[in-house]
Amino acid sequence: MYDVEVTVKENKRVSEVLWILSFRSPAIAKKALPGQFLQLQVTQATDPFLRRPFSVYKIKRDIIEILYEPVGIGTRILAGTKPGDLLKALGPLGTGFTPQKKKKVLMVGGGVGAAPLVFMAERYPYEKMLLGFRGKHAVLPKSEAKAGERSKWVYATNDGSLGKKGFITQLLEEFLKEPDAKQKYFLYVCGPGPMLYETARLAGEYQVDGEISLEERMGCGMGACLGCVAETKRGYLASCRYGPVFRIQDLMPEGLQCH
Amino acid sequence: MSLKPDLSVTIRGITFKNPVTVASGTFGNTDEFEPYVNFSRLGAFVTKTITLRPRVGNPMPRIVETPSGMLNAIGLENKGLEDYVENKIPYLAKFNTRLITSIASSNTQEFLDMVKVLDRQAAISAIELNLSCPNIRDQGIRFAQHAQEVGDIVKAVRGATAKLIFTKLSPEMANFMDIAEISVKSGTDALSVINTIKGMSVDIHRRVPRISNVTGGLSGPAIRPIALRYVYEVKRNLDIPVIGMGGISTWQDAMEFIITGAHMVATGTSNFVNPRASLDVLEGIERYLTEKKIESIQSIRGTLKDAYGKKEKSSCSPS
Ligand SMILES: Cc1cc2nc3c(=O)[nH]c(=O)nc-3n(C[C@H](O)[C@H](O)[C@H](O)COP(=O)(O)OP(=O)(O)OC[C@H]3O[C@@H](n4cnc5c(N)ncnc54)[C@H](O)[C@@H]3O)c2cc1C
Ligand SMILES: Cc1cc2nc3c(=O)[nH]c(=O)nc-3n(C[C@H](O)[C@H](O)[C@H](O)COP(=O)(O)O)c2cc1C
Ligand code: FES
Repeated sequence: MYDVEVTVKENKRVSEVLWILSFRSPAIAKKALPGQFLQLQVTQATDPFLRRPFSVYKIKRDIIEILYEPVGIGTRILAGTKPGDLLKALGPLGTGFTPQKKKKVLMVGGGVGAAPLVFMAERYPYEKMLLGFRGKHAVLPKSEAKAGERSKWVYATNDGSLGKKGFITQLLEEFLKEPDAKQKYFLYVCGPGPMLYETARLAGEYQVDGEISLEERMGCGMGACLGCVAETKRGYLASCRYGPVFRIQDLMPEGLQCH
Repeated sequence: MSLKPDLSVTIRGITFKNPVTVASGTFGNTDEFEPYVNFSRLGAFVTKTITLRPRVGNPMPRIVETPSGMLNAIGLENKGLEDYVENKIPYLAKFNTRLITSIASSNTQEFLDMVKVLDRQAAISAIELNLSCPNIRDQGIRFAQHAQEVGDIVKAVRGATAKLIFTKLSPEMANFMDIAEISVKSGTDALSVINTIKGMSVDIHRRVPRISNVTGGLSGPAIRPIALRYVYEVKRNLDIPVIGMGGISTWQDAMEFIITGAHMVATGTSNFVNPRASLDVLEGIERYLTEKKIESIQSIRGTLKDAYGKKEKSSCSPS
């Protein structure tokens, strides 16, 4: 794990709500695994005080990319950064997704939760990338997919403005209904609470194995403050250290709802 | 060539190699900060408060950011005394720093039971009595509101160990100075000042408190002026070493506490933002003393002058 000062290389908008920020860090680039995250310090001032956690979205040689959505004070500061600006990046932190040898991977993402899934998709084979967004304006464009993999990306939007109307979990269920789904599929999941809850419910119903990346609010990101605990079958576990990636079966479903 | 200043501080005959430590609950219990900090450089390592038996802590959400700080209501989640002795001490004993074990309980007998076990641990230099955690709904906080009860705990613990005793206080305690005074009279070797201050934050869209416990302890730069004022009050009225904490992020912050009279200083919430905060503070203090040609930390401690530049009359004696 490193705590490095980095220089913003590029900060661009890829949809009405999604942005990609990139910076160079050979140390982090070498070590980061899909599912791991960074704690970014977006200001030298004391307000906002804490760092913000972001999944690694892509790594191109020694350039790190973060996919983010401005939702509050910290992410809005991030949206205002320009090439040349300095940030501090701590990481890579937490656990990554477990690569699958035998099973086919279904990625299930909601909104900016697509970030760690896309990184996984850059490095490992997968069957489908199922992505849910509020509407067309919020979609992560298919141009972000690896060459030749655009057809694997499937969208659902709440308002039906692109792809299937409704929730991405409805699309997921089509796959899970296949008679051999239990033996065939493995899920990687990241997104808002209700989506995680519904995915975990479906995974239970169809007995399909998988992993969820949780996005708990964080204090330290290092396992010290115990402010980010996930409710697991083994009790509370700091999600920054023992997660953010957990086996779906290890999580208590009630704990997912309030994300 | 300037000589290296003497950074060591002594509390009841026990020497700490430098005045910089970390606040309980903000630096983990074992290796959380190992990638960033060489623990052997710290004056002391204070572990997260433990209780006799394991505690699961409060439901989520447990923390929320507030202007220049944060609220926390972790609820003293910890694995208990036995796990600490078996799994944490062997790890921490490897480092060349002083280990300070923070403990909490809701009754004197349990404090004594814990201290008896800890007293046998050679690796521990001091026991910090956390009498001021605002985030447990059982007797913890109510207990420590009464000066007499605090006095009884400190006296009982004093009778059970020859190790250093630090008593940790919070402005939440209604009669702070009475409690400080009775702690000193009952035999504490130092006061840790301050623990967090209760606060609250509301999500106006969902109309719910932002942390499950409703209220939580405020920490970070937001409380620094308050913390400093409490250190000042204590040093003005009592002859007792103080471990100053509350919003310390930089060496300049730390020097304010030392000039006001603190023997030691701890970085707390700032460790979350800058995992190297403790060492940055240490290096800054050393530079400050070197540049100002001050030969020791002891010779600048408690040298606060009044607003007109005259030496403030205080009871703090260099030790
Ligand atoms: C492991 C991990 C990985 C993440 N990866 C990404 C990513 O790749 N891209 C991305 O855009 N975001 C990601 N997030 C979420 C991101 O950290 C938050 O959006 C960000 O911290 C918000 O900061 P802010 O200052 O803009 O918002 P604030 O002003 O602090 O808060 C704005 C609103 O968002 C809520 N909020 C803040 N943090 C969280 C959180 N973690 N979960 C739910 N609600 C929250 C607040 O309660 C508030 O209502 C990740 C979070 C975690 C824990
Ligand atoms: C997340 C968190 C957990 C804490 N846990 C404890 C604890 O277990 N025991 C204790 O005595 N103080 C605890 N504290 C209080 C700190 O030790 C310190 O007294 C307080 O935060 C003020 O210092 P700061 O502003 O530098 O953080 C905790 C503080 C935070 C932020
Ligand atoms: S964020 Fe501090 S323990 Fe996870």
